[in-house]
Amino acid sequence: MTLFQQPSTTRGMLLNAALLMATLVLVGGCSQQPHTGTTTTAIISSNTTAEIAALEMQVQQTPNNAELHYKLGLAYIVHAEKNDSPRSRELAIKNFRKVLKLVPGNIATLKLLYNIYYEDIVAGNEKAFIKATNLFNQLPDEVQKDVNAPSLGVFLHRYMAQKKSGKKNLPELYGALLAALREQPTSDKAYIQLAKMYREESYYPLALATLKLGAEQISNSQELYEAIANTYEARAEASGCSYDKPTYIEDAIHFYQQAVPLAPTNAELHYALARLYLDQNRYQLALHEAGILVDLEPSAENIAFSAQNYSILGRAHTAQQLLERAKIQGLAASDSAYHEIYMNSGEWMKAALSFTDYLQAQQNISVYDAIKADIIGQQADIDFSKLTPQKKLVFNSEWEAAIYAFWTNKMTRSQLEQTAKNRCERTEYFFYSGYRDYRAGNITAARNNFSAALQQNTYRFIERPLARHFLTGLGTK
Amino acid sequence: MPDLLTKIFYLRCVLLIGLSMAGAYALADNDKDKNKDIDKNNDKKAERIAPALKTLARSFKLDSSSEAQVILRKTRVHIDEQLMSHATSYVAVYINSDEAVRDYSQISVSFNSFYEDIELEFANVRTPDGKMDSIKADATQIQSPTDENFYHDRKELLFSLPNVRKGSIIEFQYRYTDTKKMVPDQWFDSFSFHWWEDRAAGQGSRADSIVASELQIIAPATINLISSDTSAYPITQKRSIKDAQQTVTWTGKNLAKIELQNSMQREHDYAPYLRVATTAKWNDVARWADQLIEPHLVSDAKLNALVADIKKTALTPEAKTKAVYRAIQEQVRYVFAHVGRGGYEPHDAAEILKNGYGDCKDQTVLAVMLLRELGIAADPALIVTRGRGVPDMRVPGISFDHMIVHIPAQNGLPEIWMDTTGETSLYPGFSVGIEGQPALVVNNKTQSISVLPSLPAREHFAELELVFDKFEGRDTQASFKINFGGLYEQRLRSMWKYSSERDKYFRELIGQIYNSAEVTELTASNADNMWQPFSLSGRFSFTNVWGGGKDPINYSFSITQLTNLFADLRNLHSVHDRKQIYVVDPGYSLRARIVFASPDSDHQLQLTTQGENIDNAYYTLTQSGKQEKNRYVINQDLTVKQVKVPLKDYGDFYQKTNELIESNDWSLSYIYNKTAAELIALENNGTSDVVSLIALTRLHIKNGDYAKSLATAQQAVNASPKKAEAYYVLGLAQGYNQLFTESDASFKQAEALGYKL
Repeated sequence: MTLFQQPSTTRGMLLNAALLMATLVLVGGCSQQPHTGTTTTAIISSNTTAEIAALEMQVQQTPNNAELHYKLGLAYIVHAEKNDSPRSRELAIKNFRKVLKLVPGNIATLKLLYNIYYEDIVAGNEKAFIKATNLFNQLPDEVQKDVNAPSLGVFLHRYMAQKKSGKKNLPELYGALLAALREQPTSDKAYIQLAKMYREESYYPLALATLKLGAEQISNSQELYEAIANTYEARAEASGCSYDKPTYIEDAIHFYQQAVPLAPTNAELHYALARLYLDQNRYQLALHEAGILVDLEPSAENIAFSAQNYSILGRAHTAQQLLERAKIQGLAASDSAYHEIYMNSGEWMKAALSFTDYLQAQQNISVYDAIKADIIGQQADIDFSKLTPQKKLVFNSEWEAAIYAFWTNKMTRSQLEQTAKNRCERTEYFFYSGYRDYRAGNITAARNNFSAALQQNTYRFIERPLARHFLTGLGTK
Repeated sequence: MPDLLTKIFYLRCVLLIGLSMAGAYALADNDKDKNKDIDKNNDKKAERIAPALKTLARSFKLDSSSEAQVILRKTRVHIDEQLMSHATSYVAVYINSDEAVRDYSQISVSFNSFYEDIELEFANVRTPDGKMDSIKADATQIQSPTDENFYHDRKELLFSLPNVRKGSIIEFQYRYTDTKKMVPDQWFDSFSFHWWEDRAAGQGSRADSIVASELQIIAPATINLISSDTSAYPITQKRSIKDAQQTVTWTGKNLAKIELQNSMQREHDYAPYLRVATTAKWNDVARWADQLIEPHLVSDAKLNALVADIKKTALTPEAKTKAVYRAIQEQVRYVFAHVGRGGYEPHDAAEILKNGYGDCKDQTVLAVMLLRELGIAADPALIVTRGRGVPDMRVPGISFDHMIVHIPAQNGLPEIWMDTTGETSLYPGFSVGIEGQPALVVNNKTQSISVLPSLPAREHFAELELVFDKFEGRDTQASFKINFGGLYEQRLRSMWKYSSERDKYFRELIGQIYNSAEVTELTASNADNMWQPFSLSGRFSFTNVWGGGKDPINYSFSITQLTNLFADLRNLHSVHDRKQIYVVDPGYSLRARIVFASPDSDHQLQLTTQGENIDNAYYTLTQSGKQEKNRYVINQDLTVKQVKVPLKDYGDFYQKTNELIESNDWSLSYIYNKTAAELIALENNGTSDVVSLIALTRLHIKNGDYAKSLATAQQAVNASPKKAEAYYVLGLAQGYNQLFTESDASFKQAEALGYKL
């Protein structure tokens, strides 16, 4: 069954996407009106052509008026964006260059012009790199932080080109990011992206070391600390069972905590802390963090997450209250929280109904969904056998394949036992063996296996509250 | 042409007054009235060649937008059987602006008093209310121009008109009369269809639009008149014969105003000109010049002794040629003193050497004499210098204003055009003032006009080497050296020799390269050396340019720092105002090598902007920068190409010029870098303990120098194989060098040794 409750897909935004979005923002930024320090804010009307003509006339009359050139540059860039006009873009550049001749070092203009060239870099214009670098070097440190380093543009271009061609060339991407580190050592973006890529290749120590290098340079980056924590979490998971790597969990908590003061309203951090505290069985802290999460972002998903935490801890009433609140908030009937919470509390008919909704919404089903269908069907006396075969069964690991083989009698209990290598797998081995014993009426064995499943202390496994439920049903010896 | 370049066209020799652009007209007078006195008041005494002014005033359509309109410009020339001539010229101008009032209030007509006389026949002003006013008795004079220090025969008729106001019409008629033949048996002249009037206060000339312009030549029908082609202009030609006299008339109607602008083409085709001659053969001119010169190629004992001296030491043709150049430079001072000689006949070679002075034709005669005595073939060559432009040379004429020596290629010696008139000019004295100009080699065999060679743009150069080499407190200094070639060499050398306050002048001049600096030392090299190019060197001193110590020092340099001094690209006409073809001739090259030094090894380079490369039809700019130990070196090479830009392309040229002027500067800073300083300190302390090596590795990584970080991390691990942190930094360095398997292993080892990762 669900090993871990997964964060919703809208959560952790990929940095790649963030960088791409930043690019789009930068493009849009060119059409906004930053202050030059020498000029009042320009107002660019929708009728940019008329605006341009009027400004051109004014510029002819006073050719050395920086403010007019600035406004004209803005008008041209708006026109260029609207009409996809390279000529307008050129004229925008020309006017901004003129401003810099008249008012050397004007920061707003440098930044605007830099963003134009940065956009060109992203589009693959190699000549733009030197121009952008020249401008980037003229920006004061505090302004450099507001823009992406030129090599980040190179990275983005390469990344998109590789994605389009399907030809992966990681060293090329690493090279661009390392160059970005050199250009902008006090910006966290390149550190985070580079670490992310290392992490994706399972170079966890290198990813962590990279992020810590960044943290040495930048002590106030919430994103950097969050990335370190994420990496520790991923490293723990990569071991096969994070419960076997408690120090990584501790490290992750430590760095999430470092991030919180820098971004106190970031719900994501509290979501992560709630999960990790639960993993450590520090359930009071976990519930507290989940409470903060809901306070900060009272979305249906976050309330359901909180409900599931209560359910796992056996507090069915609170869990169901929260579930109702999530439902009011718009939680989809197909959300897994419904049937899992009902399963945990032994309300099998409700579980069956909500599981039906869940199944119908799924294109593919996992091994755990198939097993759930059997358990819920058996407990509620409902036959899901017509529904599940319509779905494609997906195996995500060898262990899942083994579990399914055992569940469908293609693998023996002892074979499964030998396959289970860590606490997570052993939790499942004991639970599913126990359930089979339970169904066979082998009460003692079932009791022993359910107890053994609980003793693995895999606190966020759904098998844990289920084992507790069946044990309770079996009564004490 | 940039200002500095135009100044270079000053030449030492003015051979012949000839025909000026103002349309002065030199003609003989055989059958004219003999009244040499200028009749100031009564035009009835002279034959009026134009209709009555009242008629003229009614006949033309006023152009209210023009400053002035020439209603009629008419010249009638009579040539007799002996080819002596007299010419009457009439001009009527409607004055329509205050500027025109100033310019036309005084009229000047130049002539050569050795060959011709001039008289003003009448000059009147018709006021706006229709009244006529005539020139006053004291308002006319013949005078020698005061703007040159030469003793020569050029004079000018100068008269002032009364009551010239906006709305007035002025008219005047004057007559040239030949008194001597310049070229026996031939007649040459040229004619401008516009009236060229000097602007007030010496501000150039003007040529207003013309309603009608006419040239009429009346000559015996037996004389063959050769004329240049005017078909490119609205000029018509008619010829008639009556009583054994031919009358050829050229008429132009509604000719547009000519606007003279800087950097125009040298060819005279921007305005309709006509050349007329009685021969089509340049050989006739060459033979005439030869017979003027040959009799003066005479020797004496002193000259023979000089030849003997040269022969002792100069054994090759090249050495002999150089020795002649040197001898004239050292022994014959340039002086123009030819009053009463007409301009083309030199003194005797021996006399020139004896006197120790002479003008261009004198020096040429002496040089030719010496060269021939030394066994080297040489001839004089008549030149039209750049100051005169390039007339239409398809019809022979006498429009030369300079003479130099032509040495044809012989016995291993290449063809040489030698000009000895510039004092201590770089051998062979070939200057930009004659480059690409027409030349007539003076000997009996010459059949055609030659064109003097042009140097490529790279040989007209100014080349700056600037090295920032001294830092004291808040001040810094830079040494400089500027090498010159071609026109720059000629001009700067000349300026150095003739500037009255040359040290002050040159300090200010060179100071323009860096306005913020003071030129504290200045030395010229080879100013008097005719064999080595002139150059300047010295030091710039910059005060309070940085804070010293850990403060950053900022540098910048732009190609415009050279173009502002050695070219004049900022003062182009706007596209709207440009009316003439734009010419860059010759092309030239400006080069710079700038060495920006770091004040100390703790300051690290931050390159802010880099100069761009440009290559278009007009300019090639190549720039590069290179980081060297504790310094950054930039090289710039700008070639301003020799071009003739048609008006239709001027907008493009203007834009490209602005792009050049506004192209990126080089700007860079040396910034105190704590990491770099620590790095250098660590590198220099020579210690190889693990702590230092780990610190060094971290610094290399911080600086992005990953290759170096790998080496020092490996050294750290080797130095202390049990040091967990050494493995940690090795893991990082390996990772950043894409050695991922090794990186993983190193991190594992670090953790195994207790490193908290």
